[in-house]
Amino acid sequence: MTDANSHSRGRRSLGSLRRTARLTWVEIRKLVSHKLFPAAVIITLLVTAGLGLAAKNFTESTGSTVRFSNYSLWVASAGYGLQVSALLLTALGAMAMSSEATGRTLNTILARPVRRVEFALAKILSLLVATIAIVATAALAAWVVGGTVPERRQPFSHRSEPPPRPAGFPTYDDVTDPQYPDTVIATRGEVMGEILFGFALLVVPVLAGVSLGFLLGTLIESSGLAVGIAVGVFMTLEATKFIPMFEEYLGHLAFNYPMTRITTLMLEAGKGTVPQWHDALVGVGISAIYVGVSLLVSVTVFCRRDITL
Amino acid sequence: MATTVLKTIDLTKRFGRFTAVDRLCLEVNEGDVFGFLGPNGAGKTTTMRMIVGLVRPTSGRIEVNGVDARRHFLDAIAQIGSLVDIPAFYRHLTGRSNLSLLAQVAGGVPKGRVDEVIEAVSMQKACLKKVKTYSHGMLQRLAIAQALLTRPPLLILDEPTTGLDPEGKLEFLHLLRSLARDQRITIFISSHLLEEVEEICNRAAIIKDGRLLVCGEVRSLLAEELRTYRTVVSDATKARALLDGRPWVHGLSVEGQRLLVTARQDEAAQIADTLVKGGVALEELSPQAKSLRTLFMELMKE
Repeated sequence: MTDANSHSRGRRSLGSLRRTARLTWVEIRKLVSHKLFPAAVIITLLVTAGLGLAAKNFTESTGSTVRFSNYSLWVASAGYGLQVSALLLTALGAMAMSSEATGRTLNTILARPVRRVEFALAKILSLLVATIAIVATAALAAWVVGGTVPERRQPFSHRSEPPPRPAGFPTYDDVTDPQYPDTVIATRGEVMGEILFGFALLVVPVLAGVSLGFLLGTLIESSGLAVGIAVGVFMTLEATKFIPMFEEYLGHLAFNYPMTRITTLMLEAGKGTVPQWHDALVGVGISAIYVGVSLLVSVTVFCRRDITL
Repeated sequence: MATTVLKTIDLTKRFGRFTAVDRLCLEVNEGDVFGFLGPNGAGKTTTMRMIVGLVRPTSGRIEVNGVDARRHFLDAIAQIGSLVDIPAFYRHLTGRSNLSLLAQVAGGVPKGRVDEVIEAVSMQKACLKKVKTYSHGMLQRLAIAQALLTRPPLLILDEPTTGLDPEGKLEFLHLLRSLARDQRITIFISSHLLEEVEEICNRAAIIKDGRLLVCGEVRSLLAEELRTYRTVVSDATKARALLDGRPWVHGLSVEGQRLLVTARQDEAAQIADTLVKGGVALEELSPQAKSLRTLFMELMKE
């Protein structure tokens, strides 16, 4: 009897997993076909590449003492560009459920053989995919810009006297000691590994904004209002780090606090230093709490609510 | 004995102190086209939302083909195709894309089924256009198509003809009739348009303030003992005086030279007898065909 019960439970769980996977695929299809997600990808691409190109021109045209290595250029333009994309993703998160309510498509979907929890999970998974896609877009765009040495232009290096370098792509090399160019501080593989780990960590704070948006979109049935409030909350939290005296404590509530911290550590990695990732743990932890609490409350509220649209 | 496809047992929904549906007991049998009637705010849509799982009942049970909808929601809902409230789709997608998306959500829909339902609602060309370009009639057709995707034995339709022009309504009713007749689909339909319900439904229920007032075969609901007789007489005032106060007269009103007299069928002859004996020339005495509208209005007055 117990075997039969556990077998039946197993079959139900497998069925639930299948339905969630199917729904996630549907949600991804919907996301891609909607205007906002492609727009977010394009904006991310433009902002990241724009920042990279601006930094390049800055070092080349002004002869500034601030020099960017191509690793730094990659990390800085992607890291700071993502702070703009995080706002767009927060809006996307806020629209995920509220647009279904506003358009009343929630009625059409939920009157089918799917559980609400499966539908909510599918929404969350599709947003996770969207977040990873945006972070990857920023990383890739910045990698291309940072690694390109155009014709008749100076290469970029953190060294004070960079050796001339031919045009090409990609130009990511081992990091060497500025005093002793033959001494390798960190291999290209090591630096790339650390930076890619940093990008993976960046997904967490970006996802925190998305989750908060998702929560608001679940609570507020009007998509316009949900997006407006989500953007407002996002900006307010960002502003907390500018409050004198409380900066040290409230600053942690801002989404870009961990993003800035991770970006700084990635910049260090780009210079061949082994980054102290535990420095970013508090910020990433707070972001993870945002994600956990927001999603838990969203799913609970959504599963218990009467749909009376 | 007819198989019960849908059964509600003491179904109740309260929103705070307000009781929207109060211990509702209904039975819809296989092959029925069941009309669900009631004024605005009677609890029709709430009942339908409970049946399709959008609203949770406060108490009571719903069974679909004997399956308890609360305990085995997926098994129960898999047998229902529904259109609750206005038809809603993803406006930026074509009708076809919407259907294929919804087929994927439902799961287990064979490949060619989308084309079949498109053909069933005659939308072969229109389905290639984006939904945002659709008229209300086209949206209703698409809504029926999506409800049919999983070949459900039961269709739940909440005021499906609202907003359609007379021609659209006619076409829509024709479609429903053919679905019930040709595909043996049981249809549970709510509508404000009583003539339509009377035309296509074999059974009906009327609710008010969340409570069931009557339920049964449309024919038997309309064939109650009391009927209204149209009487054309030479002197309406005298005729009224003759009939007024008689114990077998249950209702009396004057319209010009005509009297509308409500009486039991077996006592109708007494109307003629009383008038003739009282010296009033009787030109016509005919039972008024009772309509669902008349029954509805009577019940609403009570």
